Amino acid sequence: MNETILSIQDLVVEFEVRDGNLRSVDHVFLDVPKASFMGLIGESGCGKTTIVQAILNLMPENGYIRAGKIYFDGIEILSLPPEKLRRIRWEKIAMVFQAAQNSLNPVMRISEHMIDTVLAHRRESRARILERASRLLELVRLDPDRVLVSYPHELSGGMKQRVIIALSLLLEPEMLILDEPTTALDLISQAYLMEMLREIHRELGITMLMVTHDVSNVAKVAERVAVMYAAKILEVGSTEDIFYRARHPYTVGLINAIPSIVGDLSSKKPIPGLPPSLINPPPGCRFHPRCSLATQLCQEEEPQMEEVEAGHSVACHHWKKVRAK
Amino acid sequence: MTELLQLDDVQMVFERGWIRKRRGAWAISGVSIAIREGEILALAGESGCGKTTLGRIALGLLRPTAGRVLYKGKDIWREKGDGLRPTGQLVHQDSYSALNPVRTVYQTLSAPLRRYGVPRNKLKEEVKKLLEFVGIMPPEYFLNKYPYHLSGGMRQRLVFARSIIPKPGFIVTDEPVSMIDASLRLSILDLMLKLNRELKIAFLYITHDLATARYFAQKGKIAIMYLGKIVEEGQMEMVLEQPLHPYLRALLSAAPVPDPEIARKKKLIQLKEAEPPSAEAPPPGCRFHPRCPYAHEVCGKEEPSLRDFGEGHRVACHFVDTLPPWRLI
Repeated sequence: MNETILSIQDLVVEFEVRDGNLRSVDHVFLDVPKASFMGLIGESGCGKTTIVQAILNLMPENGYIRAGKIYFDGIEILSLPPEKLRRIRWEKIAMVFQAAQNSLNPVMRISEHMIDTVLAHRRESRARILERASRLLELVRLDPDRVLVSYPHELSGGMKQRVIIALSLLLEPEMLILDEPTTALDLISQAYLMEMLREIHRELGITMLMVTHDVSNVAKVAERVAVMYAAKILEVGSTEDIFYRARHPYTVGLINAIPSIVGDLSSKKPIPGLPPSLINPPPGCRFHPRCSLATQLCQEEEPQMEEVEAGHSVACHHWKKVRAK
Repeated sequence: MTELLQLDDVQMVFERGWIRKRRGAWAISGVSIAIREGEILALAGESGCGKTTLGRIALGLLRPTAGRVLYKGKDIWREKGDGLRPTGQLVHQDSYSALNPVRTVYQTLSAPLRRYGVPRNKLKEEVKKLLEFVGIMPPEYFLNKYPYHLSGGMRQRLVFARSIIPKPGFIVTDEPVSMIDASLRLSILDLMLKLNRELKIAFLYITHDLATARYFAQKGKIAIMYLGKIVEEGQMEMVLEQPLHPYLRALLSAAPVPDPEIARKKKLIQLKEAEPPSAEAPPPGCRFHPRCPYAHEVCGKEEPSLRDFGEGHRVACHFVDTLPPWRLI
């Protein structure tokens, strides 16, 4: 496998809420190989967005990183002084947030957004910035002559989302993190966006980490997938490992619960039960109350990540008994 | 053949302006759909195509500006009183806003049960039966819970429990699972299938998601809506196997599939424009022609009408016969 560009080690993040401490990320390890396209999937509330917030240390007011280290290109970034971290954000790691369409300033033209973004980080002539911006807008299949002079309200939701992606690439970052990039887009715009992300990844060789609840979108674009459940990462592997050879009962169940426009529907079924509360998570394996393979051991002892084949790891006591269909 | 519900050439134009009314958005222009007793019809389309408006018209919540709405053969806007009301129910995506936050589960169900003739001393028993029927178990545990105690899936089950109390002939569900977690979505669709099978309730399932539509209406029908018009309709299996309208083909080519091999091989049909024009000023002729990769001159001039291509598979496109053969992969 390639060298690792981003390495999350033993990360713990908590939110202080009225009912107590909500541990949203619980001793998570994750390696993102350089120049890969990685998908991080999980259902709402599993902590996947918290992980990306922690990567750039952009925690909400009541959120605290309690433990762990995050290495980017060999540098531990959580302990960096704010000014140094600021330089890494956007210049090295750019991020497209959920519903980012709405983060454009309504009284600024797109060209001004581009110039502002660059000048906040380095000195460069406006002409050169706009030249690069035009190239990037073309890359996301927008007409630069039209879009650069537009205000955000003159663009549709899908176009704004593409402008944001062009903006995020403006400082030529090494890594792009996308949090639910397709939210609020129509089906056809979603498909175009996914296709575009794949092309950008291929052409620029940039590392991508896409966080989403949409398992189907990941199937199309990602090379590697991490599966998150109740603040834990349960399984990591190549996209094929996860979709065809999953060894965690939750992964198998999740993929089997997604309806499709093709193929057999008769074997599709939901996972019984509900995701647990993160304030009082169940002891042992967090999935055991919903798992058909659960035994006494699963209630008592938390399974650790084990490598089941090269590049494919899973945290389940009974992974040898799991066979994906 | 008895049609339970029939929308006949329905049109809906929303007015704009406050003092001087002007004609504004054409939400629906000339749509006819029919649902038989116990039948499932999926109505699919992207946001702004008019599918939600059509659902509200089907329920009698909106009066169409033209056309008729027939329930069991009777025009609901000509009958006196609210003759239709108890027979159609609405379940939409946000179960939280559909429930009264200061009423417990018991209160939420007992009030309508009382209204529909259950004697006081039988209420508790009936509420429990109902909760069990929709899979809120054990019922005793939930009786005194408030909506905010329940998960999204449980709340949606409660909404369904309430909706079947008047013994409706049909239920309009508008994106009922879009706020439900992926691992649980099928359980809500399975509940709807149970209501359909055991209580013979017909469903109008409104969605943008072709995959859940296929799951729920496997043995039913599907109608595809685009900018206020039905462009293709027929039996679900037949329509998805052999889609004929370029818009449906584009939708299917764009729909994500939870299988990497198929997902990567699938070719996305390139449209001339990625996004639909405004519904306020729909293009002349075929409404899809500015985006359609197969459009000819006539498409910008003449509006195609729905034509039958066998067994009720109807399509509104001038060039059905000359389109390339369909392949998903």
